Amino acid sequence: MTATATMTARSRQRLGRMFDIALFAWGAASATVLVTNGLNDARQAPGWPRWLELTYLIGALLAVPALLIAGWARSRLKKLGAVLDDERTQATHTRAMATALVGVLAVQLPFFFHIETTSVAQGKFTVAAALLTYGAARLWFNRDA
Amino acid sequence: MAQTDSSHPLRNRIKLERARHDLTQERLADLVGVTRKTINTVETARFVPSTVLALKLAKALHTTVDELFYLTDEQ
Repeated sequence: MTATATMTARSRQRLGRMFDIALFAWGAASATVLVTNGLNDARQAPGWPRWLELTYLIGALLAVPALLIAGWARSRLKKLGAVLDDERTQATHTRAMATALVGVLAVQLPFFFHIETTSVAQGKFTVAAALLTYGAARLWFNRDA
Repeated sequence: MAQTDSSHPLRNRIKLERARHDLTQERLADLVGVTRKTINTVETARFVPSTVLALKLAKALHTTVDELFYLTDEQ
């Protein structure tokens, strides 16, 4: 293999990893927003404290560029001729979805012990758990050997 | 589920065959149309490929599936 070809292969690996990390960053940022929103609903706070507004802003600042980077990386990888999806990536997705289901069920447990919260807040915790566990599981299952 | 860990009894000679044909994981991945990581996980017995992928791998490495894959402890 030539040096150029090796560099291209390494670039593909780096971009592939970057895509996963960007996807996770997007999930984490969205989950942060949902959790803080959910906490606020659970506390039934009358207004938004400044730190929560800051969290929203940081979440948005992380989510938007991460999504753009992920989209750019994907199109760049396709132009390079990289294979982005195959049966292993599909299996990884299936396993990550199964893990997310466990995460979603686990986050419901406290609500069986008379924890008073609104259904809106519970919904936000549920979606946040799904996003985080899916992203984390995807990163774990895609780790290098 | 096709994904597994290294304790699975299915083993393979992909690395050996790759070396014999002077192919990198990246090149073999390109030949069969999968990602390099898929080749890596199949090679290290972390992922059990489908029949179609096994056939493609065997064809790319000029061998047969039963020569490429074998069970360590047949029940």
